[in-house]
Amino acid sequence: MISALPPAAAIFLAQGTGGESRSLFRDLFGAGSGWGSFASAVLGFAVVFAVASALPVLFTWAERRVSGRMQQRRGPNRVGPFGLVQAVADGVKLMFKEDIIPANAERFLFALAPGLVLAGMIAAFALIPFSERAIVVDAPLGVYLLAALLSLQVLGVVMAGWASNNKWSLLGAMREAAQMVSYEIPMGICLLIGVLSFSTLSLREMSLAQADGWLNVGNWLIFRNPLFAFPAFVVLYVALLANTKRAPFDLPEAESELVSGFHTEYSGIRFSFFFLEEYASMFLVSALAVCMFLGGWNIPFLPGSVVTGSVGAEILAALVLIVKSFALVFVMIWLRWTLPRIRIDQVMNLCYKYLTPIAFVCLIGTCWWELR
Amino acid sequence: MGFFEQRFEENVLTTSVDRLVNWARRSSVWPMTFGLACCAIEMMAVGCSHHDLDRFGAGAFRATPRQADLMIVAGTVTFKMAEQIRRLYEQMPNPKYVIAMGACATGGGPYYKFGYHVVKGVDRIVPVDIYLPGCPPRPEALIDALMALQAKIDRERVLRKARAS
Amino acid sequence: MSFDYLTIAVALVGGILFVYANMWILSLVRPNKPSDLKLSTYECGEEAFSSSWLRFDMRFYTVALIFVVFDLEIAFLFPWAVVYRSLGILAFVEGLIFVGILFLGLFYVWAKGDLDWVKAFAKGRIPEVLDGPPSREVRKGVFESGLSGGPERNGGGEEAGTS
Repeated sequence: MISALPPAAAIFLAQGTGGESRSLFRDLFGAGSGWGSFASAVLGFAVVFAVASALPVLFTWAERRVSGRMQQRRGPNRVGPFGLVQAVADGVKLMFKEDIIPANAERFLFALAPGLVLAGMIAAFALIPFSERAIVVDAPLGVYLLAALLSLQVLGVVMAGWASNNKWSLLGAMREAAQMVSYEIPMGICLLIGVLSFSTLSLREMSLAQADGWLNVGNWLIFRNPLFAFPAFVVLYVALLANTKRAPFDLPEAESELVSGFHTEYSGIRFSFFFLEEYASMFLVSALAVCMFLGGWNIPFLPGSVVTGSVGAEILAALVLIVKSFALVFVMIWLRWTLPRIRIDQVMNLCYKYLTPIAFVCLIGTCWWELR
Repeated sequence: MGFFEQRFEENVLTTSVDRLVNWARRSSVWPMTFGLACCAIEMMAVGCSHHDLDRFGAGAFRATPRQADLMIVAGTVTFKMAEQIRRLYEQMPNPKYVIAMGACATGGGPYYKFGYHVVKGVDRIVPVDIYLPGCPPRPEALIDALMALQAKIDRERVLRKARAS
Repeated sequence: MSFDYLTIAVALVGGILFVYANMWILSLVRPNKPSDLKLSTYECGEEAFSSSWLRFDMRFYTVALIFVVFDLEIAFLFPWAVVYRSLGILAFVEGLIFVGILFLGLFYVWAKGDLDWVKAFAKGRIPEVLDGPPSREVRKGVFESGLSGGPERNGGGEEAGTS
């Protein structure tokens, strides 16, 4: 949804924030103007960056331990208790590893590509509402902007593949681009369903709108509109799997045919940026799905007032969101170590012949459901 | 050569940094997916459930030499393959390590006398860190070789000056 | 510009700068021993035999075209979705017409066989799963679709027959 960026930017410039922002971060730091607001923006970036770079450390460990358990192995257990600092060791090792830019590569694009991929991911992280006020950027156009930032990754990946001047990289990048842009169609339609049901583009307001209801889960989108939103959630999840290049859609980096796909020529710390992005965006897309379909920070069977109001409640809310997102991430890891990789024609068939029509039917159905 | 590399006298800071870096390197030795002959079957067995190389953090087999730290030369090195092995080794980023696994890679093995087509030991084309005898070695032996390699990495000098001799 | 979007902009620029700063700082400590062989392009241990900047498959353009159409439509649908509930039945009918036209396009592309990765499969000229040796028609189809280099030289057409 790169094409959404210019219109989105135009709308921002035309109307500004369009309503009061409820961001705690803004209340604390955003009061100033000029250099003050710039400083707070930098601070916001720092917060988001810390969160985004801490998660992959956890997830790589989880991935290796979970895969170990699923294959009746033990997984890393020599480095720290339960191998917990394995990812730290990997990171430090990659930092002190030689960096290679092949002589035939396009140096500028080769260096820029990981930055672009990382930048889109970090910026998107700022839009995730962890609780009613724990949100760095409460954008009125949150979902739209998030989808646009997520698709920046396609740009970086194609750039990396092309600049490497390596046949594996190019093939991997082309596959990746075809796969990611294709799966943005069902993803976009499923996001539309959420927008349509709550009449807002702000993820924070969506989560708030899912607070109270029958048994306090009745307002969650998948229960509120079970006939159409539940299949839409499944379609969205599959599309997000493809968007984050997770198995069974990991054929851009299929080791048995494409060596390492688009990052074949990347070594050391440069490679770790792609790695970081992949694991952080797992959490990112899971949090997006949770905010829209699974009630955001609301605890099932407890009223919404439990997780809004005081500071303690907000922390609880953030924990709830994180637990829910981790559950979805766990399913991603689970799927990776369970399912075989599928072929490129199967990937395309699944997207255009199954997911897109299903998503459209869900959209029309949701329209009808909301009119009842 | 990095600017700070092997430039400093021994003091509490440099030894600590060296220990940290060596710890990271030994804890995350990523081997390259690379097998030549029957020893490769044993190498695969090391990665599987029973022996589980991933316990040492070395289970992440990378398909490309650009992301690998360790080349396990598992099997018979023929003259035809020697060129490719040499190029793959060169394409790995520093620091890089080589384990010569099995009798053939160590010194020609059963082909030593009449093997007109076999390189008599992979150390004739790439520098070898650990020699692992056996035909083929048991998976436990490969784990032992990895641990010997870890002990070797522990003695490396990153910021400290290299010893005179 | 408001604070919120300034943060997004800072994150975008900061992400890129972070990578460059990281590369520069770490270049002080990491080893750097380039050689001609090390900087050569990786091609499974062989010498790279050509540049990789070549023409790639036409099918990717088809995918890109389909994507552009759908993506723009979805971008147009977002404002509609926001105000849908307040507009009621009018918005429903309008959305139905809009999505209907989109669907028409999808089915057209589908019927033309452009959604299939190998177009010859869609036309039925080649069955996706072969039971037994391919028939004469199938081999003719393979030849016409351009998937094989050319017709068999040794007169295999007669002996295969229909099975």
